Amino acid sequence: MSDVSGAHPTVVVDRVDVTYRVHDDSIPKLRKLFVGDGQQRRYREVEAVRHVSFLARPGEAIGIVGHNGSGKTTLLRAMTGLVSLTGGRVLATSVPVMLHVTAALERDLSGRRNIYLGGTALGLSRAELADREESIVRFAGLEDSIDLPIRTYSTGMRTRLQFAIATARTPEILVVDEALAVGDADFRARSEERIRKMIDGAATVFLVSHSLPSIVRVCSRVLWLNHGRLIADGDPAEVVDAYESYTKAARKPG
Amino acid sequence: MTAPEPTAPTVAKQGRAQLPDPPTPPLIPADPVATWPRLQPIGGRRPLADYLRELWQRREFAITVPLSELRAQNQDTLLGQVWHLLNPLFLVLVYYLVFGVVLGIEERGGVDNYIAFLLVGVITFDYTRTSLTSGSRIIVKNRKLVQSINFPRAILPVASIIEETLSHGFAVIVMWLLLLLTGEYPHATWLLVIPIVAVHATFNLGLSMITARATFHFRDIQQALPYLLRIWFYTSGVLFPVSEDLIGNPQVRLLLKLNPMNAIIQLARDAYIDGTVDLATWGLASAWALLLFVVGFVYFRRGETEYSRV
Repeated sequence: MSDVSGAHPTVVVDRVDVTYRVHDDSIPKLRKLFVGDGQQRRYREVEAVRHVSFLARPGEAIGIVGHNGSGKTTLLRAMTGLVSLTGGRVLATSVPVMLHVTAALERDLSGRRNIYLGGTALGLSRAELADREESIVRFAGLEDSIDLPIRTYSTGMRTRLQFAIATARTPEILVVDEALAVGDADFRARSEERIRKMIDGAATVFLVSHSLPSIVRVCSRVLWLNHGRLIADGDPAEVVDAYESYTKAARKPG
Repeated sequence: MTAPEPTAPTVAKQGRAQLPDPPTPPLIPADPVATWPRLQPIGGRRPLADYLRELWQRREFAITVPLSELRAQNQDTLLGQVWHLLNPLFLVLVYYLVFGVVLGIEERGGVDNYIAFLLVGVITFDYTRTSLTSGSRIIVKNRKLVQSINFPRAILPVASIIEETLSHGFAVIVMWLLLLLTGEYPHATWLLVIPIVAVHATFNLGLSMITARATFHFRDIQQALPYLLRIWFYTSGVLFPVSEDLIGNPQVRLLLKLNPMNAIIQLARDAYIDGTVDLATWGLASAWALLLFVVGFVYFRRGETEYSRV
């Protein structure tokens, strides 16, 4: 798995560090002003991702687990080129598509017009979108409300629409961050099915979810992040088991 | 790693929780692209040629955004775009009363048709004003988008200028109708509207790329911008001609003449009111537009990787 031999990887994450410099808003202590070393610390550094390395190959669905703040989202953002690396490098066969089209959508416009807005934001052409319009609407299950402004949509409807737009043209590398949790059971089943189809078509999918069963069902491999470090990388059932027993043990007092 | 640990490691506190041994990192060759030729680096600054190619690939986005914005704006109001026009038109009326009727610029400055003079000046300046103002908000407004989708950020100022240009196009048509009402008649030089707007749009795009990044670093600019624009407005020859009769000091006159907005407004007045073409003015306006476009593009792209910062 971790060799130069084998299939051409789609994503190479090589010793990636991401350190955020955040403004420290703690109230300065007067005493420190006089007694302190004269150098006020106004910024604090948060090491969100530390020295993470892995290779992803076509046809892999890689789940990422870890507690809140373990660096999952930062790692995904580093993979999509949205965050500057403090160290290491990320290479990929194409820019990974993050499933966050909502950001491009216009609340006051209809779902149909938003297909074009979100789709072109992801780099699809209007012609491609016209071809896929019908199947996007059908997949999102929005036949009745596609011409209503999306501000009237429920969270679930919006998520379905964005998932349908983002996967309209199978991206080579798709990054799904906590999206499947929002839909209902039926939509979850359909989106899991679509992800499986994408993997069969040699795409690489990254899935961050707090729904561990969902990860075990869909993924072929799981990464476990703990305080920004990669703790485990392997079989979904095994890694999820280890992660679950660790969180259980950590929760018990003493 | 000299930085202090931001969070207390849970492992130390709870002795029972055991982390597995970290996995052995994969063997990654020193030059991955040599081994795996289809790889490309993600993140960081892209070479100019790649950047321009990606911009071109997203051209349909640059058109879809302004069309969607305008459509969304027009949905809620009965008069839609007309509201954007009423503001400058009311201003023309106010300026006419103060500067025309009260102060009598018409006779003192040697202007034949002061309402026409004001109309062209105000509407031309307004195109830059709105472009700059929306340019300054562009990164803040599209924050979510910029944080979640990786695309050449210059597409945002381009989309915003396209939107402002469509509004301005509409304003120019109304302006022409009003010019006819004030007793002007159409000149063949009205056809110069396309090159005039092209020069003006290039100028505005450069400026809005500068304000976009500057405001991203210093939010205060958004507060200061209306006042800066006001000063610029009064020094751009919108209300009075930069002529010897009105401005005696030759140095001040030269400075006002070098002001790019004065040159662009002059282009518009020559073409729409007088039916003339002055090559020197064209040269000055085009030079300013080109200069600002290049400076704006370079400056904006330098900040490219910062805009998605959380």
